[in-house]
Amino acid sequence: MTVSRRRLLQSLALTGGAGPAAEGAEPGIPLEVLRSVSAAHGTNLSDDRLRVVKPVLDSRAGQLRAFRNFEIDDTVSPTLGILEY
Amino acid sequence: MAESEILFMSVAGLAPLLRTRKLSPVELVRAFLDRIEAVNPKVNAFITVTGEQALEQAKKAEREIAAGGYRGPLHGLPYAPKDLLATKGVRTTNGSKATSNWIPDHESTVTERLNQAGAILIGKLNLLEFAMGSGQKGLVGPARNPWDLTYSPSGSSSGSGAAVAAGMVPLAIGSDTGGSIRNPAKSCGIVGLKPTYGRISRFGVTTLSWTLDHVGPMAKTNADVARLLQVIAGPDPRDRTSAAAPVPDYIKALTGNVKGLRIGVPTEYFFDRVHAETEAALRRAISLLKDLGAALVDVKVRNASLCGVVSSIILGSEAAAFHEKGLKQNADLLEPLVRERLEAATFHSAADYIKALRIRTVLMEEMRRVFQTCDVLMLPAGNAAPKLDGEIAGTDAPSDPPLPPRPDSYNLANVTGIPAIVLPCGFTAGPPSLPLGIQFCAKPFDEATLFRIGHAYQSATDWHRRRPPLNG
Repeated sequence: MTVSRRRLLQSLALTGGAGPAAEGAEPGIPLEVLRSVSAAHGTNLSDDRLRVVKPVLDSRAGQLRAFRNFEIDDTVSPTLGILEY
Repeated sequence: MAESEILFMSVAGLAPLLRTRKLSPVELVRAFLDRIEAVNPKVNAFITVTGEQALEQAKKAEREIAAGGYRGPLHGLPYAPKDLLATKGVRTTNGSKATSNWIPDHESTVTERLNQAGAILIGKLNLLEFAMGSGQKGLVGPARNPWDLTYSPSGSSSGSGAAVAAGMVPLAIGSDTGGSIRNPAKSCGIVGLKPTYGRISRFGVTTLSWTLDHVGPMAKTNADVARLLQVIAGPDPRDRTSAAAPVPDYIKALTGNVKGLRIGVPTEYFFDRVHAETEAALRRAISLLKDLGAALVDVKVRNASLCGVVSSIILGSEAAAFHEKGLKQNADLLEPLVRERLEAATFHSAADYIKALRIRTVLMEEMRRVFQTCDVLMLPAGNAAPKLDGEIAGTDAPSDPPLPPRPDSYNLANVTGIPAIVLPCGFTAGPPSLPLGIQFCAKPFDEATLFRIGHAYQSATDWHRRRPPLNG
């Protein structure tokens, strides 16, 4: 399957791969977009499987918006373990 | 001594009897095996029972104790781990058809340490497939709540909670990635500890999420959980995430004295989804602790509402990575809900995952600030157990939404790595009357303070002594 650069960027934006476009996205993610992202990620889920996971992704949209809108200071690094007190 | 008395005694009660040979390990193991045979068909807490092996080990313990080789307070006591801890030569299913015939050639560090302490493996406990959330039927059907068999024991350490509460085993091991020890402890009316990240080795424990997984002890009393942690805690060269921090003597923390201890009580967010009956039980518990000399301090945990989504992204991303091969090769063997969750998680972006780890840093710094104002933080432990049929409805046809939000009061401790304990603190009016729990969190590696407050609370209450109305 060939995925155009425009479609890939649109897809990544809708599933969170790029910030600004995602903010204005509708909560329901079109199946064709999921198909493109799945192809780009190399998972290549079938349409049947995409129809199963679509409600999961749609239901998380609001929660993810709050997450993506949360601003973090540039000095903050990721932590994998624990912080010593 | 009546068998029913033995089944519900604490380690503190049983250990002296074993040490002084007033009770034989063989007699004790037989009593628990009889109990398992009688009630497991109803409770479904055990996937595997290792009866013959357990009796052999009991005879060995009996000989050792008689010869003056008493190893310590767990010697001769039966235990059972959640069936995702590898046990050499004993089937370890992970609650999944995909691994239902796996017989490990190695021993997890936790079970190895228990075996070395003389504890006796009596079987492997039911769980939700790969410890992945709630709402599944599981490999052998769901475990049931001993307080009412139509209710869920909660998960994912469902068998661990149910087995201890039903008097089928005195000591259990669970794992906790987003509340999976504490939630069943609450729902079954027992004590469950999620230790500090790194406190207990995860070698030989099937991964759900490398940076959120914790292994921990479950038992009827706070003191028994302390004794269990004493044996299984500590560094392990086979687990690179295990911490080098020294393990203190937890028994010394069981003073019953909470005078001057500062208990932080959240002023917002955490009580939002708590039923009035649950909140009343929590308020009574902290009021009692105040009467015992503790000081109550109002606290605010900033950005607590992000814990759920941060946990979901980290857990989902890491679980999808761990199960990448299984999704490609054995997806049809997974429960529909588990497969759905893993496949949905493949849509998280790397940027989301890294951002979640950065918010984790923010939340850790926030907890550092919170613990400058209090010694322990009290949090709800969710409401009473849900109906079992309601919880697993839709397993064959995935529900919408398929990921009900977990109580964020659990995720905070996993995301920030701090230790957290759940103690029984009352029952619903019912019917049915179901257990309620209270949760306390502390600074990293300060499990001792959790045991201190737990011991004081259980010395002044009898919730942990109540038994479910379950006959063989």
